Amino acid sequence: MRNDVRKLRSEAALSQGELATRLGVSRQTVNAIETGRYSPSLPLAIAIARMFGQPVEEIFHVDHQS
Amino acid sequence: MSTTSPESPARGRRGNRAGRWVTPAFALVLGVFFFVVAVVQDDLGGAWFSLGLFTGYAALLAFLGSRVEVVGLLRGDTTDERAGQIHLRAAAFAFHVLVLVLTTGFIVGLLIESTLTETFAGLCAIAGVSLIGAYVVLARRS
Repeated sequence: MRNDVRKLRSEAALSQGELATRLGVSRQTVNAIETGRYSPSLPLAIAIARMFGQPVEEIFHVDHQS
Repeated sequence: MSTTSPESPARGRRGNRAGRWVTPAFALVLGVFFFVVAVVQDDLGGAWFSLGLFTGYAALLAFLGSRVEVVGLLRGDTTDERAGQIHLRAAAFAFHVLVLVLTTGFIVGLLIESTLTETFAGLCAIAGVSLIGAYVVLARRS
């Protein structure tokens, strides 16, 4: 699953650590989400979407190519 | 995207702060226990080795747990849902390895007619019953 978290975080001038603190997760988890190694749960995805003021589907994109 | 959340995403690290010391403290207690046992058995070398080993492990967990993620996981940190998932998957992997070893031990024990065969069979039975029980409970709850 692809996502725009890194781009949105950069635009918001937030570090990974700052975003992690705001979301209540570890910095490593933010990094894992940004690099696509970890797909967040629905509650966390919604929390991320709310933080950036965008719908979840605008941030997370299901990659149909397998 | 996972719809299951072992930990709330909003769960901070504050709640786990006290829990972070449980595993290092337990390692220290184990070290002291093995030290006393070895001293009673008149094995001073083994006593100091055990104490040093467990004290070193406890120190590693206590001082590097917040800086190195893997050490933090060893310490039992579940700071967020990803850490919780890593714990679950690591435990499942360890369980599979254990079952493989127990099953192999049981089969080899049968072949060489070892007295340990019954022990391996009992442990395999415990693992199997635990797995079935977990399936029953989790299928109802989830």
